[in-house]
Amino acid sequence: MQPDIEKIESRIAYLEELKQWVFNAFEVGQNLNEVFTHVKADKSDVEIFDEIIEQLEQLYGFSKMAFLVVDEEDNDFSLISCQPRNKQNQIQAEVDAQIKCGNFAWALSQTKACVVHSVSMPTTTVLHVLSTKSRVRGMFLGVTEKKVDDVNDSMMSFLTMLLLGIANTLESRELYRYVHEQNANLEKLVASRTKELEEARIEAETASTVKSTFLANMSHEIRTPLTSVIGYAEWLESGSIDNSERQEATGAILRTGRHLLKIINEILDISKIESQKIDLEIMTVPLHNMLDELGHLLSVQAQSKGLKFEVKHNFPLPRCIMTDPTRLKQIMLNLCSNAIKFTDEGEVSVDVAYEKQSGKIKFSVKDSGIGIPDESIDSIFESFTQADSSTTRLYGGTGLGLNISKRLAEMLGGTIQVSSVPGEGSCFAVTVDPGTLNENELAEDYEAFSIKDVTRAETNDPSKLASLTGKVLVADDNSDNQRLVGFYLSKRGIKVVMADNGQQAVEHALVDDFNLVLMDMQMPVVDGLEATELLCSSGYSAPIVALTANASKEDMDKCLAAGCVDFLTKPFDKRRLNQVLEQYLPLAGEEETEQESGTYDEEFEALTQKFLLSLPDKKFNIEIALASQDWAELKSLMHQLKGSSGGYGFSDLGSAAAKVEALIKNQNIDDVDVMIKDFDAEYQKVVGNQKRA
Amino acid sequence: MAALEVMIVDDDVASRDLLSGMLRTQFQARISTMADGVEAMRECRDKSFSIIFLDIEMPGTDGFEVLKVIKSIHPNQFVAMVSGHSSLDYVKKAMGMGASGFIVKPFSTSRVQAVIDKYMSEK
Repeated sequence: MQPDIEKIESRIAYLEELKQWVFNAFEVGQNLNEVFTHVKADKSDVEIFDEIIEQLEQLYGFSKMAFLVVDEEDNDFSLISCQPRNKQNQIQAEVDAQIKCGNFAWALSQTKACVVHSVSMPTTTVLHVLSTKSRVRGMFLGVTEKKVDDVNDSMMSFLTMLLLGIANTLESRELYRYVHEQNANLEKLVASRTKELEEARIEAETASTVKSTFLANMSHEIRTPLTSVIGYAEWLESGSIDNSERQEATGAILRTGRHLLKIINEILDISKIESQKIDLEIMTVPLHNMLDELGHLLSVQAQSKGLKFEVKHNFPLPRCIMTDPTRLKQIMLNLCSNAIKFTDEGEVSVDVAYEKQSGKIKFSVKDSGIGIPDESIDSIFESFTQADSSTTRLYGGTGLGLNISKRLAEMLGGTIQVSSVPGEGSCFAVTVDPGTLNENELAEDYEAFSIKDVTRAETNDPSKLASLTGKVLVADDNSDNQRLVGFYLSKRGIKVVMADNGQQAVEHALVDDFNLVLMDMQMPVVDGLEATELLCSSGYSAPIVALTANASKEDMDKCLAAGCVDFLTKPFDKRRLNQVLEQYLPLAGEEETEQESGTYDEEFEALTQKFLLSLPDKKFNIEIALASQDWAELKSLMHQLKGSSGGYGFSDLGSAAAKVEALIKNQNIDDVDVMIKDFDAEYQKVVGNQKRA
Repeated sequence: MAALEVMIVDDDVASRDLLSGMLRTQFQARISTMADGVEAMRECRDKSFSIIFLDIEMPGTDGFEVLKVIKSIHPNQFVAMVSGHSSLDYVKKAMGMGASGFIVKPFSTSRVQAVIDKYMSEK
């Protein structure tokens, strides 16, 4: 019995031990639960694993323990926590050894503890995967002094349970953290969006304030000259003024009118730039020609103030650049005119240089003028700001030019910078992008720079251009525009007939032979669009070119749809006007196409004879009508003659008849007698010539 | 190309002769001439023409009345109005009534040419 008692005693001791262990296990389970429940969001993974190891140590009495986690980036296992800490190297060595011998991989595929002989030391190693259903998160390694067979299975099952719980909790924690992070990101995003919106709102409000200020300034700037226009006009109307006063008044009206026009043009420029409606016309521009032209224009201005104007070349310079010549000239003219305006003595110069580093062309406009005070130098590029409001009174100007110039320079790939010493002068440096330049083609001296070729020199002086011939009908209700176009066309040798509105345009066009019709689109009575449509539908064949102040695509399309062959925008770009003229008008000296004399064949001759023979009959009828004062009959006879004479080449007779007809039509019967005498004279010429022939 | 069949309606014999001479010599057209609007309307009822040159100012039935009748019989008939007046009202009225051309006396060959070109392009 003795051995039995011993057996039973040892059994009881074992069960007692087990019971104790189970109690411990419960406690550890509870502790672990605690660990996770109270996990603070900011607790690191290392800290958590340290706590877990602490709990497991109580329960299992491993001499060494470690957790390895899967690195998400390279899928490698790395040691995150171990016990005792100072044995980390040994532990790592055991891990490496287990990996090498394949136990580690085997353990990964198991859902329970793998109890194996330690490889690097004479102990037993427990490997247990740390995984959830979805993925492997890591590995637990424990080293015990017990023999492999002595490791208790139930204790290992419990380890399995614990580790599964740990893995799941870790995963939950991670998910939680992920959700939290997303939330935070979202909040951050919302915050930044809100900030952006707020900024946009402020920007919009600022823009609107700027616009309002601009508008207020603008109406002020426009109102002021208008006041003087109205004032002088009223003065003129009162009539109680002498000749010199009249001249003064009209002079002032003209001056302020032009000033107003300038303001409006500049405002339009600004608004076009702002709404990005300015289309640049980038082309090859011979730099020398442009500077030459600028020099000519400005030296006259400078001379009138007794100033010197000079263009200084800093070679090497490209002979041609790619840019919009109109806009570049606009900038340069503005800056140079300003320089001349604000300089009373000394000189104004333009230094031209090619900046190799930035690849830009730099024009520095220097003057020895009044300069700009430091405090206002930043604001001179703003709309309607001159350095000092009294300068406007003193020097005129709209205060928009610099703003426009700067924006244009930016559009041309550069900028404008200003430096100034009050009382000594200013320097405005414009840079523009000259396009891709071939470094080898830079001109090293003035001679190479000024060689004339590449592009035909452009000139706006009509008298320097090839003389044209032909007749053009200009329909424009604005008499100034009429005069201007008339002047320009006549300088080029073209005959011009004016029409004040669409009605006149149609009526002239149908009567006279024109090579070209320039038709303003906005006219009273009948506008250009309708006139063009009417003419085209009536079989009118001369080309009609639209003149329009609004250059929108829609307007252009309308013009073309009405039957115009092309369009010109007002104010005229001389180059475009020349293009159109040269396209549709014959060069002087060429065979004039409209003359049909000499093309009569025999039958035509015979017809003319027949007409001439019928003339005495007509004359007889006219005499009868006159004698019987049958005005209606006379008018009809004259009308017929008017219509037919011209066709046979007797246009003087035709126009004499037309005059008589007009008199009767206008009930000026008293004057008919006089006019009939003219008619008789023309009649005698025709008949007399015939008799002589 | 088949010859143009043209009718000229004008009460003034000189104008008629001038235009028919021009059309015959320069454009090899076959011409019928009418001196009277009513006559022209009657002619139109039985015959069709490439182009009718129709004078507006005629005694009795004027060109507009003739145009109205012709267009009611043959809506697609190409009619070029001829007038001694270059009046916008006339042009507007003629075009509104369906005329296809408008030339003013005295006219050069180029005007007649333009009308014929227009006819060719619309044919």
